[in-house]
Amino acid sequence: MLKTRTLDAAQHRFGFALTVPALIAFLLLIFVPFARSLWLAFNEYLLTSAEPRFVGLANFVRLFADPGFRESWRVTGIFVICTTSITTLFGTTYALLLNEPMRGRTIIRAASLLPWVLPSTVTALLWSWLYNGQYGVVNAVLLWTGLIHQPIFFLSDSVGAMIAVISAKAWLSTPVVMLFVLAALQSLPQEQVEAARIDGANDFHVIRYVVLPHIRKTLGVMIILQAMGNLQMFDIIYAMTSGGPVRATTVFSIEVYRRAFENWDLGMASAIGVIWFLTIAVIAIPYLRSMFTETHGS
Amino acid sequence: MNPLVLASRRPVAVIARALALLFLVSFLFFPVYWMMVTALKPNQQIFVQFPEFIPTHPVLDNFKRAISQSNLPTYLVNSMITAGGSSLLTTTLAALAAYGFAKYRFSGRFATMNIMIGAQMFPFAVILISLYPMMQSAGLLDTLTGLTIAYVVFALPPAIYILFSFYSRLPNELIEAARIDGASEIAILRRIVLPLSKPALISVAVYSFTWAWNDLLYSLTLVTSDNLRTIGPGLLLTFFGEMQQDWGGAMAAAILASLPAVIIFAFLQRFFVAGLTSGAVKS
Amino acid sequence: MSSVRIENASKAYGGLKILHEVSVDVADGEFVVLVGPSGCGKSTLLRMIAGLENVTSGTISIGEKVVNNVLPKDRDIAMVFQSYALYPHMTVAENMAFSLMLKKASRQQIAAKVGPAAQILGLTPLLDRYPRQLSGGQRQRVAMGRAIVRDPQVFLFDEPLSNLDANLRVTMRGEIRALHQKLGTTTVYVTHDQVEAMTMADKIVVMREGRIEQVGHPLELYDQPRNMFVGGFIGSPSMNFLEATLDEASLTIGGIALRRPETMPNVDAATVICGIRPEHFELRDDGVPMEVAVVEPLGSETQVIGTIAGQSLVCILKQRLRARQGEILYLAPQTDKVIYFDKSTQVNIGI
Repeated sequence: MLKTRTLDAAQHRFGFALTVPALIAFLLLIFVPFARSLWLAFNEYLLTSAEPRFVGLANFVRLFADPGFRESWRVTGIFVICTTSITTLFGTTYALLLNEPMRGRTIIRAASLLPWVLPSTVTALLWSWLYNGQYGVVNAVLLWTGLIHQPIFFLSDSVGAMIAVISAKAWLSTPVVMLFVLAALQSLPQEQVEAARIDGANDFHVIRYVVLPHIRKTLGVMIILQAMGNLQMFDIIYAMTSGGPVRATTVFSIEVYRRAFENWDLGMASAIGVIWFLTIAVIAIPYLRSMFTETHGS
Repeated sequence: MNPLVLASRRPVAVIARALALLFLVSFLFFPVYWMMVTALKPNQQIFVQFPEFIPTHPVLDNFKRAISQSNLPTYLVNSMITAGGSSLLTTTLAALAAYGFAKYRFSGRFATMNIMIGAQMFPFAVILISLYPMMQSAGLLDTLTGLTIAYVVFALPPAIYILFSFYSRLPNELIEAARIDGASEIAILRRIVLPLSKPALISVAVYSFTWAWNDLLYSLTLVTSDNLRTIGPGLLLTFFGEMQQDWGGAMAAAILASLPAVIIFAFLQRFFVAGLTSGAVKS
Repeated sequence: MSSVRIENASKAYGGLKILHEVSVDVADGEFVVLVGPSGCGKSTLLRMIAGLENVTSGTISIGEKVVNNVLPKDRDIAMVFQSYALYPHMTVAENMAFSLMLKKASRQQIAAKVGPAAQILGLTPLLDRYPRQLSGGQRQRVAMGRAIVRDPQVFLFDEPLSNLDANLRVTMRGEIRALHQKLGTTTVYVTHDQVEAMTMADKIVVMREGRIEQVGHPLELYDQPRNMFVGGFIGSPSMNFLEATLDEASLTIGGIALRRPETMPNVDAATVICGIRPEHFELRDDGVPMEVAVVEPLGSETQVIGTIAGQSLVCILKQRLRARQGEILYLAPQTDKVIYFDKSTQVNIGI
């Protein structure tokens, strides 16, 4: 075929040219650094070493023998699973409630996004204050209701610190889930609900057989996105607990940060990064697949 | 107005709904309320075991202290520069690329774009491990320019995806009509495509602004001079010290640090929500 | 103005060929309609004339010039799209002026073009509105206005009326036709609606599956379809096709032998397909028995749907009649109006 001489060849060149700046930025800032980090995982590279030294799988062998690393697996798992489920439950319930007509709904809905707009350090600061061991309002409420008799020093307690960072992150993300689920709910044709009611459905039936199937895809995407985001979470945890007490809230991101930028052991940090990336990838695959089919389908 | 999904009028259901709403509204709003209340209280009312829920004598001392005794104004300006700059950069790069991917059929476009979108899986900290020495050798370490550029990492892939979805829905016929009307490809972009995508561009700009504004990891690592710090590390290093007990000042500073983003968001909320929910993004 | 000449034009996407060596001549000032079922390649052909699609092989010329590799903007054509493709962020006046503005025409030049064009289309009071504030018919007019101000060599229309309701479609049909008479610009018009084709065209090109089935004046196609496809596609309700057996003296349909008409072409075939328009039947006692399925009284005429020897049939009778389902009516075709097709090739034997 006379492909080169055709009409749209010039157009195609123009279209390609449009993508070049982003492509360069992507390669320089994202792809090359990421690929280099993957490669560093197979090297020994300390602050003291001039050049990375190839060591094969040695970093990984050391990692899997390290009980501290196994601990950060567990901590990451707890944090991601708890935060994701709480956020999804709260966000969906909140969306269902806000979906009903009531006065001031628009304002409540817009204002509910506030936690999400606040800088994450502010969120961390705020929740540290709420959970403060001496003067925190959480302690005040618990003492006042008689649930406890001594104030709890949440952030210096391994379970308490986990509770604190989970609540902060759930607080931050619940509005997002609400927003997306609400958008999905608003596209639900009211006729479907009415038809179900005429067939004798009560509220639970409507939710179970009409609403949930309709928002299932949105929920799936939200759960994946939340899980990916929570797996990456650094700011709030680092600001609130720095991964402590001891290692009680040391998730992957904190582990990598500490090894890379406190101990300057870039090889080991990268090795954890590889495992971290693979964990995210497993979760992200269904989501990316649906994105790819969308991009191809159009 | 008729109820939609939750229609039951049984007392149990009505009470359960009210309680659930009360709980969620308090969960979302009480912390913000508490932040404001604390910021307005004098210290002797803050450091008590059973605090007052409504401040009896609101004072502005905490705000004055937050501004005068810390570098907060500098941090805010630095955050404005880096978040604003990277938002502009990201939106420009993403808009051009997304339009190219969506409306021109050059070979390899799907593969290229899928790799770029797929980069949402790359952990930021892992990218940072190698970005750090690259910034160092480029002389961009500990500069606002370097930080601005580095922030492109956060939002570029999702921004391309959001704008790609938008441009895919833009009718081809509009572009073809312009071509027949005699417009060059650049004229089409400038006079038809960009004006029409204003809402989507705004939503992407706000989205990438928020990412940069919220950041702690990159600014903590790539910037070390105090006068170049952004609000994330600025607040962290000023108010999270072991000995730090100025919770009134901390809450006042937190409010001040939040205001710019809250104001921007309040104005652009409409565009943003519509643009965001139309294409799923990382949160 | 100028002519358009399409010679052996083909279009393929990868290995899939969707236009097969198509040739069409559009004379200077002629109104040509490309018609056919969806997927026949008519829109692709139009887009090739516009320069929105590559020509895989063959040539397309506008005037004397081969335009295969000429960009749309340099072809001096204007196009009206099915969706109108109005620029949503521009007013009616700006939409119409866009092409002139790109040519860097002066304010006066633009006003001198847009004013009269708006006048012709009755858009003058709407010039400051945005497309979203207009009705479907008004948008359609703006799309035409945008084409008129260009004063192009050729107008291209891609199903311009298919988004309008039935009444408006009839009105706009007349307006486009009147506009063509006034401006005399060469026009290529694509539609899937044979009524539009019949009422508007100087010349119709009937297409199917990437090939041209027949080219001709509307009534020529109606009276002398080249094959069963054209016969069935042009005219509504469609032409009836009845199988008949032939011998020297008679034509047998549904078991009843009719006298072989003199107009009957000389063929040896034992069976042919008779193409009979619904209005070419009359009730006659020596006719062929039809079992009635539905009777639809339309006032001026009566439409009867039924079967003859298991083959379904629609006829339109001038008289009013009451017949029940299952009743037998005796119908005779007006034999001089019947068209005969070869059963295997489906080609009109009479041509």
